Amino acid sequence: MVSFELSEEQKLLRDTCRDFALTAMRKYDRQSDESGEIPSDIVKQGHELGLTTGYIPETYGGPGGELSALNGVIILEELAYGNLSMALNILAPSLVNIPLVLYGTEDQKKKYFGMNKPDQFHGFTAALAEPAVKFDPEALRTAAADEIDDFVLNGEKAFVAIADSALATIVFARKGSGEGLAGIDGFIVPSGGFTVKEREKNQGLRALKQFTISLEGTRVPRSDVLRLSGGFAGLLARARTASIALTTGVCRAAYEYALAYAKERIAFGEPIASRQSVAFTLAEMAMEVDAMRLMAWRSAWMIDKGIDAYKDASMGKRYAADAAMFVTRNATQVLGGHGFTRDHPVEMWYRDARSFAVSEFMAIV
Amino acid sequence: MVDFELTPIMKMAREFTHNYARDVMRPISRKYDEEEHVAPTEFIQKTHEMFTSLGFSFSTTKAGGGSKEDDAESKGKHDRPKMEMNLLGAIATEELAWGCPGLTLRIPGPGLGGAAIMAAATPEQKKRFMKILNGPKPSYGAMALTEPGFGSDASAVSTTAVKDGDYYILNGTKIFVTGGEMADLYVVWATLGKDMGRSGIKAFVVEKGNPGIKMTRLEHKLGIRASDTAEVVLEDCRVHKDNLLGGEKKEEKGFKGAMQTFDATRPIVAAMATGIARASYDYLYEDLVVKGGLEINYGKAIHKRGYVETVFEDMEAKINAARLLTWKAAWMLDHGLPNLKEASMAKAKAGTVVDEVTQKAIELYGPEGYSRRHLLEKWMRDAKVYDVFEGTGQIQRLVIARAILDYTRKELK
Repeated sequence: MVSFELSEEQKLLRDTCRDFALTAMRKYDRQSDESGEIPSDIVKQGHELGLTTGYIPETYGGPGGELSALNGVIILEELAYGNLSMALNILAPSLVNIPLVLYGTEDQKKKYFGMNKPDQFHGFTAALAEPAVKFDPEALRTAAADEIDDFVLNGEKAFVAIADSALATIVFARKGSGEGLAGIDGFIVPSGGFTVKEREKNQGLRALKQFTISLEGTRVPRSDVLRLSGGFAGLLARARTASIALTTGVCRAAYEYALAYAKERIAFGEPIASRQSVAFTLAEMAMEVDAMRLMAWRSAWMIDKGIDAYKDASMGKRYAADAAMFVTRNATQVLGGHGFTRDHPVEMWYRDARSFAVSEFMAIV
Repeated sequence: MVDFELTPIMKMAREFTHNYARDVMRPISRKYDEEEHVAPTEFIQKTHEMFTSLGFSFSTTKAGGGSKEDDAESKGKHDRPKMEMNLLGAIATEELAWGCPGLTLRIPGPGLGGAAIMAAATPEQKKRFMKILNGPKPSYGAMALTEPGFGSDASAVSTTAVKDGDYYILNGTKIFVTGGEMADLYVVWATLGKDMGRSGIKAFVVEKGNPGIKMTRLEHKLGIRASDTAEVVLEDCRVHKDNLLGGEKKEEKGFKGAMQTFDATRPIVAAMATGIARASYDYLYEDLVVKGGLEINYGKAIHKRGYVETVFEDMEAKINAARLLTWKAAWMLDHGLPNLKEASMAKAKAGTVVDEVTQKAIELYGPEGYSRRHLLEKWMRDAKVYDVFEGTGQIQRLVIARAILDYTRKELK
């Protein structure tokens, strides 16, 4: 039966995340963007909310909550509403934990779930993108050669969040040659298993540490291979659903800021919001934010129901990424010249939002 | 708990209306577009019998508007689970409009008049008038609001209502009355006195056979030509005071009542727009993808896909966005939540999407798409009115903007 009502628990989850976004993340968003550093205390506080471990089964020392993509999109929207870089940093451990819940062996779960500490952020991450023009997940160049006991990885990965500090990284690669998503597996590599190269310098996401990493004969024992058995498209659907939610959060931030500004900014003797040219733009922005949220919810709902969401998530991600450019561009536009300055956060959201169309596997639900 | 699963009844309704749209409406769609002003009498009778025989009222497919109290009533009487009439209406209407939007507007039922009655009438009036509209014969309830001198500015009503004993005497001209040719009753909006402003605007039910109301003209339109859009003239039209919606005492309900009608009808209109957009999309998909061998590689890297593929994807995503906003607005009304903003969002989005999609579909089809051999050109013409009636796209944005800014009419003109 169709419903657009969150459960009481989900409302609480949303409110908790929103509160953290507004009272903690937003305080440091500009400073972090300028310095390229997220205060470790913010990451710690965010981590302590337990958002990346709630679904770890009790048998492995977790709270034993269900893995819910819908909960995931609620969390992602709120944290991205706070700050995208921080959200991606804080939630990075899920990039390993969620694939492990879905595909991990008994031993892998024991080993890696145990590395999550409630009061200390150690960090996991995932490496999918590669430093290549026309990057294509179906044509990964990173290769995993089967050498009886171990697999040997060779290649380069790019835009790997917190690669310098992560305890473990899932490197996505294919065994042997070929194309397509079906043959891709995850190879869990501990810190030190690859060379961390230069930090990425991006248009946005400046507070998030992303790196190019180089795998030169990295040996991964068979026990650390996350066998996806053709499930990579499913993981990608989860990541793209996550992307819709992140987009919604950033767009909502920009929309709300522009809305408040338009009510306060006086021109020709009255608030600029009382002019239709501005008011209608805000109405369009509000509409797009609602539409993308519903797409994120629907895609997440499909995942939770076990329905193949690859097409819907991919389509939704694209739609949201386009709409994000519309929303954040117009947010800066509403602020006029002030929107172009770094005294206001809208230009940051505009830069951050550009990432959605080009990034892959930044977060997962 | 968030859920997008339709109930079995909704799925059944969707399947039924889809098949009906495909088998009954599509084949005659072009005929009644070309023969504007010819009433599709056979279709009307057949459709009426079909829906009546189901023992299940599809009346809301045009009007929207089961309110909370009616649900409670029907629950008490028949002990059946609460029906989400607005969502059900949206789902069924999307399918019917997929078949033919003009004919959909011709399906007998309470229509906009019924929706206004549901929004503004007393319980006694609801019973009396809905009985007429849900009678054994095909019937229509029309809304007569627009006048030659105004469209969106409904407060500018100049049709007058002058009290005369137990009666009101109405005088004025109403245009763009959907279903105005065959209406069994008209909900006529008139003013008790211009000096009273909005509070003086009242809705009167004028029943068929009243000698004071005359249809004077049928409009010639760009699209939805199968739908009768009429001009009616009220000349010393005597209406009993019991036909004043909401009763004489409720001073407030009048204009507000008219506006509340839209909370129910806008999602339904949005659903129709979504249906038309989908019709164009499906038509294109069938010939270019299913028969034409075009592959749409959803989710593939951008450089691997052609222009047409990405357009297909954009179209479908937009249709999904419109549908989700529509469902949400309808769902809110079903659950007694204020949905003014959401109803306008659904209408604004769907009204934009349907124009974009139907235009683009012709482009992708090539020269053949411009030909009247195909329905694509018709749908593009039909689509335009969805960004116009029930409040233009601009009015929807005004409603949304006032809601999000918390501005009054004066603060945001």
